[in-house]
Amino acid sequence: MPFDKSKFIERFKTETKEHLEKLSLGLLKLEKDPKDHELLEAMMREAHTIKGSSTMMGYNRISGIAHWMEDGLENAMKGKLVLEKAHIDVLFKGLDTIEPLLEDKVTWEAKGITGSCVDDLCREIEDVFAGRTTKGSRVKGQVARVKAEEKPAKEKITQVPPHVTEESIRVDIEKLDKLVNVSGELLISKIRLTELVKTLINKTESHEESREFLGTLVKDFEKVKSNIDLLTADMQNEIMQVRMVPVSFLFNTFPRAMRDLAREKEKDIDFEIRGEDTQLDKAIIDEMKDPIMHLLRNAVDHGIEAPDERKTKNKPQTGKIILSAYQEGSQVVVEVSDDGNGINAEKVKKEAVKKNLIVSSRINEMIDEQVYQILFTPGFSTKESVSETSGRGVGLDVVRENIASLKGMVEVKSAAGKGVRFIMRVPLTLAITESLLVAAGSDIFAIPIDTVVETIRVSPDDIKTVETKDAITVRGHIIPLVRLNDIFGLPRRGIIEKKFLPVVVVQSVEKRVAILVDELMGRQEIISKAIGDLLKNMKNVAGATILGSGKVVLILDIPSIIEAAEGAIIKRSSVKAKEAPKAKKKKTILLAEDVLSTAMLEKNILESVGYSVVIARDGKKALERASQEMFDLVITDVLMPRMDGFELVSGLRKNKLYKDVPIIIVTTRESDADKRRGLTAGADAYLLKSEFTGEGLLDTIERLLG
Amino acid sequence: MTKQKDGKIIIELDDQELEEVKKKKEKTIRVLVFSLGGENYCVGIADTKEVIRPPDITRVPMAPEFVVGIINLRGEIISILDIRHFFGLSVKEKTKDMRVIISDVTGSAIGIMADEVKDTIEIEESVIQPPISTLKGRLAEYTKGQTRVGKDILILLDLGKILKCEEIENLRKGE
Repeated sequence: MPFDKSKFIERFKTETKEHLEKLSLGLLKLEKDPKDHELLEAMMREAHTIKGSSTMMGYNRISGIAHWMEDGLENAMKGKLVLEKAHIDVLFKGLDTIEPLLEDKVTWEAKGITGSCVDDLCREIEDVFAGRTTKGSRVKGQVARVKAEEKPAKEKITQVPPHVTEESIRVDIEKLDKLVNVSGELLISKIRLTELVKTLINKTESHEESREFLGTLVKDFEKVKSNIDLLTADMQNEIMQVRMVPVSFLFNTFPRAMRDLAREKEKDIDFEIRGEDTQLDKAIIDEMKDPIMHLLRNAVDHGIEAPDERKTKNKPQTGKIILSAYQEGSQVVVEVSDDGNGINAEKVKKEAVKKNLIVSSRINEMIDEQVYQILFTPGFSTKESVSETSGRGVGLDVVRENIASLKGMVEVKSAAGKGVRFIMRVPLTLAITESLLVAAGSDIFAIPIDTVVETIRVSPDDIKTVETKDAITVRGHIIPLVRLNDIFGLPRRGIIEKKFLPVVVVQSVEKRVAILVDELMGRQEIISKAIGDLLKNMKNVAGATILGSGKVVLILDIPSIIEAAEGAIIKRSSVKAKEAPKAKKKKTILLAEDVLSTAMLEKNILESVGYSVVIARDGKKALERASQEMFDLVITDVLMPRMDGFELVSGLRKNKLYKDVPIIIVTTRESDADKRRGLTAGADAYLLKSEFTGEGLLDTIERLLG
Repeated sequence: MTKQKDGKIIIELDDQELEEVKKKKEKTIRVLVFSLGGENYCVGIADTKEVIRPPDITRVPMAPEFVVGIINLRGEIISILDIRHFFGLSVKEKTKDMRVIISDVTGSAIGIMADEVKDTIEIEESVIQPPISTLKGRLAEYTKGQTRVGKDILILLDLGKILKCEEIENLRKGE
């Protein structure tokens, strides 16, 4: 009976790829310890398995290569020879050839593999292990040569439909067993329920007994119902678990790439993986591949110094790169660290100024951590800039974007000359997110925990009103404050008599807002659900979830709340603001204002629409700053110590450079005399502070800046 | 005409009979009768999925008035609407007779509050008349037709049209 191979081919391929991966990892270990007997034995078995299954499936080329690999490994195991670099290299070459051979003809032909070069390779493996110098050198570097005139022998594999790729997860048997158990239980409960319904029907037909009987029946029903509830919850949980796979799933693909990369760049590198058992959602692992590879490549390319350079620096000649993963609460932390060059903050600063990503006047105030953040700015790290600056970071903005799309964060730590640590934090799973439940009146809302910076209690006296907006000071930072009740147009309830008010500080892309809530109700893991087509575009709502009690709760859309808190003007200009900074140089504004909270608030508003703002605390300081640096526009308060706004305007107008620079006076004074005085002094516009948060200011600025 | 084959009775219909069966099928539609603000209305049963007792409803602050809230229907989150707002009908106090009619006529499940769900009946299409002129404004717009059941006049609503009205479409778009 002919046996239908096609059913088994997909499995054969996945299995063989796993064996190849194990062999690859094994070879890397053997490079360090070529006499590891146990490992050699295990690897020989792997090669043997490949040989056997590929013969079965009709992949004769693969089995040929595997045969000679097995042979060689066996000799090494028996102590007939000690593996040297040449052996390892040729074995790697074998692995490299087997992998494309698993695919269809087009794939391996594209890689230049033909029947004859497989033969050559087999001979080469044989020769190397036999200690003969080989003609293998003529296939050096490349996996194999192309011999166009030779047609590969016809094989079964060409008949396999190409690219039958199917997304699959290999699931731990134990996890599946649990699922099977729970679903079995669920089934039993369902059968019991069906029986009960049958009894109910039968009994109600004979009326007399029914009254007394119904009572017990209802109780039975309730029991079954609660049982089914429990099982369903269990089942849900277990299914979620099935999505989790160890990170080794991804990590194990890196050592080989690192070895090749190190050779290519002529670096001496010891690559270490830690915490490969850490579990993570399959969907997240898949998305982490590119960012991690990016960082590893950077580490090899720009981090680790050349061996000679390391010697002169008194560092061990071999550089160390560590890829590690560990769980921290509901997050998994993945770190890529190296003991190389570190980040040169000065170079980064220079480059950032050159690229207009930052105003030169601000550069000196920046601490190193802030400087490192520039690395992630789009437009900073282009391939060109790397060669110029020998900076770190090809496409680090892409890394940040990738991680952010997983609701994660990336930060970097560095000590110049000593190395770099990139720390990525991602949630365990995208399906389950931890949330903070808060209440406004009788309504409950969920705030995704990854947006929460901290929860604090403030006294009503701590809330300062800046113009029409509320703000609080948290550790020296002024943060706009919004009331959850106001966000949703709910009535405020007795907050006046409370001594301390619970506040949740949330953050999205560097912007923080404090949300005043009626009550903090604690953390809970939630499964976020689609809210449905009707409400999916609701403002301030990101989705909904169902709590254990069955209650439906709305999930707050923190980015949109933050945006709204920044004032109505931002909404209008947000589109423009997003385009503006990329398209042209940021316009810089000098802001003269003595009240720091007002200044900070105005600065926030202006920055949120794409302007860069420098604050001066009085007229004199403003005049000084203006003489050191050219601003595109000046905004000034009237009442200020040392020199008031009117004097500042006249002063600026005396400077040739500021003859035509637009100046706006913003004040609380609303008298015609003042207005006239301001305009005669040389101001272009006179605005009331109450208009600052409205449309008026932005329109005026846009008009004046043309 | 009937005949027996292998012990089974086979009924064969001639063309005329077939035609009649078809006609009969075409002629009647099954509708779900419910009351809203004291009036009886009905919708085609094909437009509805199920009728449930109102569960715990979570309101959605800032949503338009006609959105009663969202509910958990076997793990799925579904919006509940009160279409009385479109017809200018007064909103009744909650009663124990209230039901939610779940419809997926627009492609995704949406619930509609009804004061009471009465019955499902079969009505003949031929007795459905165009809406009477006394029906005003939007109610007329969303009425497919009306029929007499006993003494009562029953208005057949076009659920698909209601659930795609301007207000609802605007909400979908987030405006």
